[in-house]
Amino acid sequence: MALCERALARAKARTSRGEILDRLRKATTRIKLFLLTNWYSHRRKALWIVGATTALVAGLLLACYWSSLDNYLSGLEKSVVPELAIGTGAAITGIIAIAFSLSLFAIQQVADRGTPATLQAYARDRVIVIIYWTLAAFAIICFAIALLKVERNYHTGAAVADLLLLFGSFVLLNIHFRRVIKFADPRFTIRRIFEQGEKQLRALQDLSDNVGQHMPRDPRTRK
Amino acid sequence: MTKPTARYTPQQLRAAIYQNRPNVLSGVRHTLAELLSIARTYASLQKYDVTLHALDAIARLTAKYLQLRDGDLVMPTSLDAMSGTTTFGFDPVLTEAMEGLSSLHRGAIGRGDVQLSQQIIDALEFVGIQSVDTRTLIYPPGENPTTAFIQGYIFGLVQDGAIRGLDDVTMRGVAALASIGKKLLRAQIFVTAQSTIQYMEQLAYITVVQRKPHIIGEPVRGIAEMLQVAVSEVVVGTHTIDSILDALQRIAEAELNFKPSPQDYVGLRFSLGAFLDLTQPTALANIVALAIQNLSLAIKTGDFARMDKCRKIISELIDQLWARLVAIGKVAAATESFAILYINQNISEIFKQGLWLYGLLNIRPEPIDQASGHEAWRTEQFAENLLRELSWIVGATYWRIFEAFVPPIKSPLVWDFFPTLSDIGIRALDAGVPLITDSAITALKSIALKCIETPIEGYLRSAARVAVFIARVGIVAQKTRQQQVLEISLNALREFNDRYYAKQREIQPDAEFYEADLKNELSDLSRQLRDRSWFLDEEDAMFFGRVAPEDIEAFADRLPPPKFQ
Repeated sequence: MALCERALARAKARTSRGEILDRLRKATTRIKLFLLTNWYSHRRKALWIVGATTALVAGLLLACYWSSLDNYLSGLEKSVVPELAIGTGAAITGIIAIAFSLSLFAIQQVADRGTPATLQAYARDRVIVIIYWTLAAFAIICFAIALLKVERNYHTGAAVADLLLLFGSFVLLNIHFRRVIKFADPRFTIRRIFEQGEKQLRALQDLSDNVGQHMPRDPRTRK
Repeated sequence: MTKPTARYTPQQLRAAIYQNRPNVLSGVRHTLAELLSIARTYASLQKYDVTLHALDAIARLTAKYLQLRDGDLVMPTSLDAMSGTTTFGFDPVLTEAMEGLSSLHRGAIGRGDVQLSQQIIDALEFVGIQSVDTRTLIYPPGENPTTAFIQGYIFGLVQDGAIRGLDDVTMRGVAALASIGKKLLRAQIFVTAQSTIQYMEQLAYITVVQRKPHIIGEPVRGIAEMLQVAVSEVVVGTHTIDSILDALQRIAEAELNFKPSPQDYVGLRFSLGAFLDLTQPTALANIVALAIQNLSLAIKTGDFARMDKCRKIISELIDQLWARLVAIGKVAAATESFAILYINQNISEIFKQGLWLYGLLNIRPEPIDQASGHEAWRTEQFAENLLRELSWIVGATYWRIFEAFVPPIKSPLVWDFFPTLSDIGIRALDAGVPLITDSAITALKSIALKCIETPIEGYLRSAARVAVFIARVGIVAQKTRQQQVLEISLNALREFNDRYYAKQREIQPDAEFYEADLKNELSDLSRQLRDRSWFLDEEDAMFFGRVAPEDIEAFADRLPPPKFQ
């Protein structure tokens, strides 16, 4: 009898375990379907929303705790904030030096294996130029912050500015990295050269359109 | 009073600027050179995705450049070639792009790099097609010097590939030329289109020599498609149709001269199918049908201008068509090629279409004014011309082709001629066109008499079997009480019988009796009908479906006894 009861209990337990497993499997499938359908189609939008919300929350928290943060930073040694600014400026300068020399090396390799047009296109690329000058400006701003007088709200403002500039530098570094990878692909270079050719043709079109507006007389009819 | 002042046109002015200030174009030239350099670099590395992008960019930039220079591009024309200065001014940008692509292609061909070669041809095809819509500063009517220049390069490249036996290059190149040719015809640029035809014809000869039926088929299809476009777009008065038919005829003759195996109908279908095989839309008879369809549509809508054009198209198509068919048929007969069957099918189909059109043309409304009277007169003239050409196609082709067979004739395909001729005779009889029936009977008689001298498969009785097809027309004429045709057929059979018995006597002068093979054949025919043991094909059905065994026997009784000389 006891044996039968135990067997029955075991069978029940097995059944309930099977049901749980079955439910889990169904839930997994549903999640997978959600990820592959709804989430997949809105993933970029969701990421942007999450990013913006995080930034907003961070900004609100910063605004709420600004004075407490200022008090805390004022309590530290006087040289901490300028050192932080100098350190950030130096880091950004280092980023410029390392990122650009390394990318030039990579592009040279690509140009050697492919076409010198890649190197030319890289040198002429406006995005790269903008990244360079923005990073340079960031470094200068950081050094400038180090030179500012200690005023009210200085500590928090300087620290936040430094960290934001550092964060911005990382973002720019990421853009630079992606850009360099694009230049490693000769098809990108081809597209750039093609766009350049289109521009030249547009200029020629302007020239053609202008010709004929003030047409001279035929020299044979001149007296 | 103001004097009229001559001025430069904006196009002339622009052309002068571009010619005198070549540095204006240096940016575009440099860009194209850069792209060519990239293509060249990656071509040797066989990175085809990159070369594809580079060539695509070159093609699109060149096409845009040509659009920009629409009306002021300086290129030599056929007039420059014939008269005037001998220093030709080629546009530097286009020339450099073409030269660059050409040298790239030479390298590809040298390495046997078919994929790159196809990419280059694709790029050139794109530029060529785009160039059709652009104009040069000076262009004679019907000519586009830019397209002529580009397709000259394409031809050079494809010829290189064809000579080296790169089939894919040849096929792709010919397809590119055909696309450009069709675009030229749609834009009514005939002179340049004729050079396209010449290029394709030359490529066809190279492939004919190489004995590659599937490759020969490409230029044949390309030219036949151009014919189709010329007919559907109603390209009139430019000798385009004539030159296309000439080219196709010459290619067909060249191909058949190589004596393909009589059983190789698959190879023949690949090589000349586009021109001769009725199952393909570009076959000769289908093109004629298309032209007739266009005319009937114009008649229905009452569009006099279009009717006139369609009539001219048909006239150009069928003018001397019999001679073309004979020329091809003779070569096919001499080599016992399967093409004989194609020729026969085409004649049959063209005749049916022509007869239908003749019937349509004869339904003319009464003219009510001068314009409709003039139109009616023109339609009548055209109908007469059509009938004359049909009569030639029926009466002048078969016996000439038959003569070209090398005796003893062994090809079973020759037996397809006679049911077709008989069917033509019966159809013409029904349509009330005795001229054609007479032509059909004359052609049959002529072949039957020739068969007496050179019998098919060496049996004299084959002549009687041919003559039975004359009797078929006569039997239907007897049934429909068309005395004139009945007399013609009886006279033809009388002459045949006399010659037949004379031949029998010549072979066996001392024989006790001679076979009445014609009567025997007619008896067989009657028995077949009684036993219903005839094949259900269209031509047999046309005869067996409307006569009874008694009709055949009655006709046989009418046959006069032979005269012994």
